[in-house]
Amino acid sequence: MIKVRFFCVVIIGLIGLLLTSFLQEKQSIKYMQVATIESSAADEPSIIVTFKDSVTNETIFLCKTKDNIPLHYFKKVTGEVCDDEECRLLNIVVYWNITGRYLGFELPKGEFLSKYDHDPFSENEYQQLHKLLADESLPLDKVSFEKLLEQPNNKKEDIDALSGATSKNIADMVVKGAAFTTYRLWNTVNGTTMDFVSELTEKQLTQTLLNRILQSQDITDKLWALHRMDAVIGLTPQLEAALLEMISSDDFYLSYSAIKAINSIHLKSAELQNRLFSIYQKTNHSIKTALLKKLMEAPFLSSEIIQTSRDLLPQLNGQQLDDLLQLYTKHNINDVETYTVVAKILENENKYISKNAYAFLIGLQINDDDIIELLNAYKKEKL
Amino acid sequence: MGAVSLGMVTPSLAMGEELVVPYKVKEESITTEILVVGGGTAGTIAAIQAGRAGAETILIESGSQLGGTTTTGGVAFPGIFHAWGKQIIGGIGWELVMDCVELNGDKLPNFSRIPDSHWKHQITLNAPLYTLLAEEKCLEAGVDIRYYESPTLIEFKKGKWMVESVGKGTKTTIACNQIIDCTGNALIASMAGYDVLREEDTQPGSLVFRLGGYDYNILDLTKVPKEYHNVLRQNMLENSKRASREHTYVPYSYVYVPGADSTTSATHTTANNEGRNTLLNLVRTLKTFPGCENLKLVDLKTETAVRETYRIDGLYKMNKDDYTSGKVFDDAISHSFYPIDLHREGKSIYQEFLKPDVVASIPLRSLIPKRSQNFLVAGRCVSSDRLANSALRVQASCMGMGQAAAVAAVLASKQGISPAEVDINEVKDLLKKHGAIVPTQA
Repeated sequence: MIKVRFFCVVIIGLIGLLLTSFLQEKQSIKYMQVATIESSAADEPSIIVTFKDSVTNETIFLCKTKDNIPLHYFKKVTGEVCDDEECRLLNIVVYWNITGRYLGFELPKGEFLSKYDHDPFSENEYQQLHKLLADESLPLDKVSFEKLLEQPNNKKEDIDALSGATSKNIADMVVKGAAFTTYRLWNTVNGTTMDFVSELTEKQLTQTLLNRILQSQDITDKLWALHRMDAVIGLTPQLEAALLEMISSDDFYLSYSAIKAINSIHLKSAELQNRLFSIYQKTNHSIKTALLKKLMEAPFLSSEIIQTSRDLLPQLNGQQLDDLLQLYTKHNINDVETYTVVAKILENENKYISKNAYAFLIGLQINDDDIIELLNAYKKEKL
Repeated sequence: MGAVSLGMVTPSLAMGEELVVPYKVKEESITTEILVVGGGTAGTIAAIQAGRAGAETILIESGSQLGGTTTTGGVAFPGIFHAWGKQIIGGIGWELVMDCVELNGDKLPNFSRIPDSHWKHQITLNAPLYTLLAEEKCLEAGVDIRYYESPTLIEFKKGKWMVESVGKGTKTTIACNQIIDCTGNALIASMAGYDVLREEDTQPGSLVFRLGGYDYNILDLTKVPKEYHNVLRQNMLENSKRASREHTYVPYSYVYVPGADSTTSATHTTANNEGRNTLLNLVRTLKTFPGCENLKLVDLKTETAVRETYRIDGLYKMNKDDYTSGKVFDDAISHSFYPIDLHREGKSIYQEFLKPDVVASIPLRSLIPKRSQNFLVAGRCVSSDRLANSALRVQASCMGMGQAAAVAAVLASKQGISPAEVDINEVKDLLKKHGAIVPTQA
């Protein structure tokens, strides 16, 4: 009876083992980051287009929706990862978002990554690899693999963080026991193909696609799109709304990049200028400065801004006043209402402020006797 | 007629020579509202702020240019202005940095992304351009810059400071309402009789240089002693400006100068001598290694940059826990963000990073020496314990302190009182008006 029970347990165990290994074989190992294009589009039926990487001469695949929206790129990576030729060959697919940002990797069914002693990667090691591949700032492209291994094994307290130029401890940059696999994959993901696929997307940019990328959850994607705003002519209402929302953000770099993305063609629109200036009145000092500099690029200054900004003049600090008066000078603003308000600033007891007003008014070469008298008096008393 | 011969021309050129009356040191007395001593990282910003706030301002600088550690010392990558996705230090320091970045056509680091290493948010600047812009902003703000001068005597008389300042062929007595000591070494505070503190063992200074003439990637490192690997590698790294990625490195090679002290001409000379001697020996040694035969010294900064000397004994001494806990003081006038970063014995660095969302703040009281009148400091001599100071000393924090000290000094000057007596809300309001970011309670 005991023998039968033991036999049953063994059989059940074997079946379980077989089932587990069968299921393991059927599940591919896949790690993905947040995608640039949201999942609803990514779930649509897709088509695959191939490209030849002009630098590596390898084939790159682009997955698109049937509506021609590019979703991601991928490449198959195969080859040796150790010297003794006894290691498993590397067989992996790496993915990039359409902005060139690393998206993830996937192993064909039944494939797994192994370390120097041929042990398979653990779940933690896959996660570590995924994290390392996503860190494009690692200096793994700066040093050859051989040189990398020669780096002194710095202790943490030996790292000169002030300089920022000292090498990181190699252990922080690779999966333990899989240095070459990490090195090779990192350089594949963060190498020239990254720029190649980014440029491919750039060639396909439309206002719609740009707007889709601006809606990405990932800040890097948003910034990628902002830095390429020149690729499309004109702003759709959606693009303009997205830009204005980002400029209003309390994330300085996003706001600054969104302002930089606006060009002189966009600024032909008086409405856009007015909307930008409405942000000026609410935003922080750093962004205020950036907004005025941007309006310097406009082909003209909207009458609404001239009127609204005129009322602000007496409240501004000296530097802001200087910025605004420079904007007036750039756009030849010399109407009576404006120079009358500026002339009152000559009375300001802060010499830095009144000097800015004086410099602006002198530059206008005004024929108004009252103003000339004020300027002469200022010159005599304060300069 | 051919060309005029040399012999025909030189007699007339030489005819202007005349005997000059022996030079007499020019002595004069002048007055101002605010006197800033030291045109370095903090002092430049303090002077611009004081001038912009409408105060008559004199800036004394013992060297020939503004910027201090950022320019003369060659640590041309100030930080840190952003933390945890938000800007935490703005105002005049940031304006100067941004003007420099834009005029030089540089890119900012991606501040939206929280970096794995804090230094990735430091901003690499063109130091000579920074020097020019700093000077221009001072002059536009009406600041009277006095290069090559150093105070030799300071006395408080009838509600005014009388400062004797000596320069090349000049001796000037400056009467002023308020002094801001931005020497970094609390020199003026000490001369004024206020207590200053110093560690028995201070952090080393750095003499910054660049090497060329070798290729790190083809060096056989097995033939180079390990202690030289870092210097050869670090020098090789450049400020990468990869189109699709943020910059990864800042160019920065240096030799440590143990005990470097810039307080006096004598101590600073010693620090420069030692740094230069160490570097010269290093260059000679490096050239003996295979692959380094053609190694060249391609750049050397003017003077040894200093990390730590004297600190004032202020109305409040910031401690490490204040810093790492992100305590927001009622009289907080600026943020500060950096790890606790203590360079030990010139060989290692003790670092302690701030926890997510933690940003330190600096109270105005730490800029005011105990028992002082009409006196403030700004910069690394802020009243703090050694560990807090190792984080407070960095450039963006010094800029924030400089702006705040100037605002407090200007208000005190206008009201005829000492900075400690000024309503802190007035200080905060004026700082905000000038674009500074003032810490607020959560």
